[in-house]
Amino acid sequence: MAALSPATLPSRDTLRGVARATRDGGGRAGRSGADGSSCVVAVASHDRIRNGKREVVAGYTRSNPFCDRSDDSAVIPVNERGGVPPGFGQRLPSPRDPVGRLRGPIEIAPGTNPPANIRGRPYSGHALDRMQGRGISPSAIENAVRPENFVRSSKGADIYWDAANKLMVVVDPRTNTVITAMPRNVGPRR
Amino acid sequence: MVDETDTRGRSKVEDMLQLIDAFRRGEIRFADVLDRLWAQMHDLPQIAPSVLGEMEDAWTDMEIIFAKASATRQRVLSAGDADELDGAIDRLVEAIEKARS
Repeated sequence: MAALSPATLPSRDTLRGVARATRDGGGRAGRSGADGSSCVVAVASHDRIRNGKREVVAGYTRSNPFCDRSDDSAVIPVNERGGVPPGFGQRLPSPRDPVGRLRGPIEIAPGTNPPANIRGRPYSGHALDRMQGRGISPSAIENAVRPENFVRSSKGADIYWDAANKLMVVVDPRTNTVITAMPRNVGPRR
Repeated sequence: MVDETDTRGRSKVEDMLQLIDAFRRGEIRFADVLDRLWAQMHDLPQIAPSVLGEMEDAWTDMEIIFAKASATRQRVLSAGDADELDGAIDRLVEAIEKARS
């Protein structure tokens, strides 16, 4: 089962149906994990109404470490309400998570966020901790990681600085992973 | 009469140096020292932008070492990284000394 693209994400109602079918043993999309739990292709997603149109909001994909399939990174278990059972796999970020601001950062304990892939770019858990603590959005990161913003390489990592947003982003060029990001008023030395 | 801002600045500089000493003695975790140093350097009153830039550059080098180790789930720094970290801390201490003088 291939990972689903955001455009084909199942709605919460679909997830409910799949979870129920899987639980009842008749779900084509489901399969059993090593511990007997149900595994279905899903991501944390929800529907919202914007400008009168219904759309599916994609969240973060996670693999279920207890499932015996290794070829699908978007497999997580869902319960009959379409949610992830507590304590199963890694914690999923929630819109209710506290977020800091550039001028008012909050402390995020190291290791709070697991690594994730957002809009095709990998982020380390540490980068997501920093972003959450300082209220830095993935779009601000994408805006900073441009050739014209490249400052220098340091210790095998590429440093970018977005002068407009006063934001420094550090990327591991081998994997294109964002490993950290911090607001900086003064640009890093070249 | 002693300038209160000046006294407060010197005290914060001393706090930063003590924090680095404690980290070098292994009393504070890497992640914690990074957060606290960043907060303290931006709390220094009347610091020249060039000196703050030097501090941020040294801190950035420390942060990159931590971020890379964290991304690869490395629990112990390699000898090379440890040397790099020492160098970055030395540069940070130099910049802090400039702020003190």
